[in-house]
Amino acid sequence: MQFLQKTSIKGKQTLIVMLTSGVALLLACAAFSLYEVLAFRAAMVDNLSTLAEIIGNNSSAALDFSDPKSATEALSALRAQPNIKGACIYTAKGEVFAVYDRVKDNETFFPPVRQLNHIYFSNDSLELFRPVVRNGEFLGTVYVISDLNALYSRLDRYVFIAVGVFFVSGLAAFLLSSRLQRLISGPILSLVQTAHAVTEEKNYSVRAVKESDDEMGVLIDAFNEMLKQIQERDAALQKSHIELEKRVAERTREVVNSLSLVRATLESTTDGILVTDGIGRVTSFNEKFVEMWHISPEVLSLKDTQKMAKAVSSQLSDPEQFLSKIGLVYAEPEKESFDLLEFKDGKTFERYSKLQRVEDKCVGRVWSFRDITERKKIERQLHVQYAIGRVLVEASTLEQAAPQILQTICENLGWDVGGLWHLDRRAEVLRCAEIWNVPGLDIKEFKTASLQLTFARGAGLPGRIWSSGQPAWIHDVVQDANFPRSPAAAKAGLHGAFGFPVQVGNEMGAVIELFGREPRVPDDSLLLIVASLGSQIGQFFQRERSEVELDEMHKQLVDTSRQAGMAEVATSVLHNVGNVLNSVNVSSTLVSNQVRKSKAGNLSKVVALLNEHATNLGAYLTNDPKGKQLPGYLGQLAEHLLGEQATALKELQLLHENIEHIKDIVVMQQGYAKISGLVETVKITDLVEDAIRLNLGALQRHGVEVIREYEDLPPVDVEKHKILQILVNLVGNAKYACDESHRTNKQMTLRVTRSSDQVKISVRDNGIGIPPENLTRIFNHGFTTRKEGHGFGLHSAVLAAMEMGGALKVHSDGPNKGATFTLEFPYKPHKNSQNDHES
Amino acid sequence: MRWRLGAISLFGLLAFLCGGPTASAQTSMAEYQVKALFLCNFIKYVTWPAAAMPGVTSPIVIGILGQDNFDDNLTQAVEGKNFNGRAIMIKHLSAGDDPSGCAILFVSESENSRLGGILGRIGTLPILTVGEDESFLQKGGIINFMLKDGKIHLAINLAGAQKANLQISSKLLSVADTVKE
Repeated sequence: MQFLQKTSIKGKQTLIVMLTSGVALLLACAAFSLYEVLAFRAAMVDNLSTLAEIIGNNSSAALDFSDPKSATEALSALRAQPNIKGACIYTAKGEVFAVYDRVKDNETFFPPVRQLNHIYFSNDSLELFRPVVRNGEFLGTVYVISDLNALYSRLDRYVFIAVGVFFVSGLAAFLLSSRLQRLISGPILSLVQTAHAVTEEKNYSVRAVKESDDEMGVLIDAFNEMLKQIQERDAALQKSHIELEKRVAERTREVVNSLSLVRATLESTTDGILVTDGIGRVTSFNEKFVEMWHISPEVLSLKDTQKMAKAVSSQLSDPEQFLSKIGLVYAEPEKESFDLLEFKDGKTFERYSKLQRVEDKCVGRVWSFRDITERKKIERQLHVQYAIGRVLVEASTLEQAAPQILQTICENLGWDVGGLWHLDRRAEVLRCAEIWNVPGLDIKEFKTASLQLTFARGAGLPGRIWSSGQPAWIHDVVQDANFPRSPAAAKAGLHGAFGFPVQVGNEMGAVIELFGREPRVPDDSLLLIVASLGSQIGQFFQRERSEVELDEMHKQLVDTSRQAGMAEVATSVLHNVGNVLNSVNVSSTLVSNQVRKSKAGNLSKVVALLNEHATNLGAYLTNDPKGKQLPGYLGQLAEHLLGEQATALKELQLLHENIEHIKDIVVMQQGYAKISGLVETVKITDLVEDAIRLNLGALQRHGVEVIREYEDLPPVDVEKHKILQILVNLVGNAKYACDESHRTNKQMTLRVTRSSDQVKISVRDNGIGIPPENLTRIFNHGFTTRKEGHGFGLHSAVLAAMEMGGALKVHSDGPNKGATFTLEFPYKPHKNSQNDHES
Repeated sequence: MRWRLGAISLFGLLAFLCGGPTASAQTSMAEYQVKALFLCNFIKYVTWPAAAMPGVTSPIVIGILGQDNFDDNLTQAVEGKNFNGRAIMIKHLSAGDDPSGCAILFVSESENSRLGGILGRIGTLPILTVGEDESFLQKGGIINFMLKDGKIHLAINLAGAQKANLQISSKLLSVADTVKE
């Protein structure tokens, strides 16, 4: 029945009709044939019986009178019946009396044993025994056998006719059914076509045509209704689909955009970036990452953070720690982490591991690696410089600073022993001034050896540095033949040596020597650092040298001002004096250099030559080749000496002016010294004017306009020198700020106001201003923004203000927006101001 | 009927035992036995005029003229037989007896010399005359038994029958050897 499932309804219908009619027809034909055969058989039997009867009748006389001949004659009448195969007549006793044989078929007929009245059908014959009775007397028996050809030929005809009828009626049924079935299959097929059209063209607007009101009609109605609903839904769906597609396209654009943005960001950053999912599988990375870690494609293909970490860990100084920290990160998936990675080749990376969150869920990590090697180097350099700077700032003399300098350098740069070799200018040798070593190192012998030695220019490591003016090093001093202290160094366990010059101005000032327990060759960063350290220390040397004299004066001034209770004012004054002294120092250095290089010595050589040839001076001057040149040389010398004299005079004039300036300052200081009571009664505006006057020269030089906004105040009781110190400082700073701003309308406003219990003096400038981050530390000791500043002025000013029970405040709106410094102190009006305010 | 069949078979058996001709039923039986049977059978094939057969139950008389050679064969042959309700009666006649009343008259061979007179006397009487002489038919007899090859053959004088107003069935004629018109 499998094929039936594939057959169309039309086919099925035809098949059903054909099968039904075929079976009915077959049954009818069979019944008809059966009936015909049975009837024919009966007719045959009848015929044969009649025939036997006739024969019996005709042969009764023959039997009666025992005449087989006439009986045989009677039988021969059967020739007219071609279907009779044979016949015979038996006597009453059962003996064969006469025989008939249909000879034409060459079959010999043998009479069977007689039976009484009997009819027998076999496959191919009909046999019949019939008694011959006359007047109730049994005379004999007739036997006839007939073939069934007639029956079979008739049967054949029937079959032929049946087959014919079957086919003809089948054809008729087929034609009829194929016409009639359209009544049913027609609507179904058109429905199917409609359904096809809908399925293939997705056209839900077509409708099936209803042709009848039967079940098909109902089905088509239902189908159309369904189509209608589908059409509506399809339209709605189509609409939302278009909207959705639009949105998807938008989103896709956004996503593509943000992806490319992310990619561009990833690649544009200088950090190496690796992105992983929650369990450490690599999802993304940038080229910088690959480059930084020197990651091969094989390692990259591992796709797993921990495996990759293992593969690259050998580059690190401490791979174990690195790996364990990474393991820890994945053990605590919700935690961010940071690590500093030190590499064997000296590089340093910062390692961040941040979480990637989507809707508050941690879905991955972003590892970023930043190469901070350069920054570290610079930091180290800055740190050393800062430390050295601190040492230098705090120390006043080289002797005092030397051990600290050496300690700082050694500790920061990783050396074990440091030595300072000072240039003894008179002996033209380098002398060891200081040796420092890390605690726990026995270098007694080495120290002694160093302190006893001196190096001439070009001799030994310090001498070589001196002559070249460049850093120099010895990989291992114990192995080096040109290192006199090598036995002592070996004893102390020192191997690597390094030294660099300390330049004072353009000259050699000192050499710093460093030793380590490991053989060592300096790297670029060390050379860079020592170059800056050399100049830093050199500046200190220079300052120290120029401040030696200043120091003396400073000490005296401090002493006197201490005595007068005016040490702070003196400091302030000295501050100014110090600046002038720098110029003094420069001038005096120039003059002394000039005098040292003076050609005056050559004049005495000429005089000696003249004295030598005093006897024949005339001949010598005219004939001797040397003597002939002497007059010309003398002329040149005289000219040169005149030039020297002019320069010296010029410098001395400058020196004089500077000293005059110092004198003015000192005179003013002395003026204050006279009235240096702890608390004096003064008019505030006078003090402000004094402060302006002290800076007046500079203010005029730099074109700063001074605006005064004074409130009329009665004389007050104040510590005059402290206020003056503060104001001088503030005015000086304001002038500097204006100057730095390089603007044309430099202005400074000085304002004096008073509240019920406070006096406020504010100094406002329109200069460079102060960035917010500096506002808090501007009063710190050592803070300065000036190239030559010491960071001392404001610090001491705020201290002074606090000592008076007041405060010093600063305000600035930011860089280039000016600044306002306000001094506040308690208002204590003098009880007898009328009398005393002039004193 | 049973006993009769048995009797016939008995006759057959007897004839066989007596060493007679064996080829047929005839031969197996004695000549007069067959002749007796034939005489009886003639009744079936001959129609007598109605006047000759008065009543419906009057017996059919078979007369034997002359010497009776049948012994009791004829008696046995007619024993129990009847034709349309008529019994068969055997009547022995001598040469001078009136043959009227007989349906069949068998003229024994003993009378062959006097055949003319006998048959003349009968004339046109409705009597089926049966003889056993070659000239029987010539002399006006109707049926003659002829012994040939040990077998009894019939010769029939149809004209004589017509003269006697007897109808002889064609079936009988068909078994006769010769039929004289």
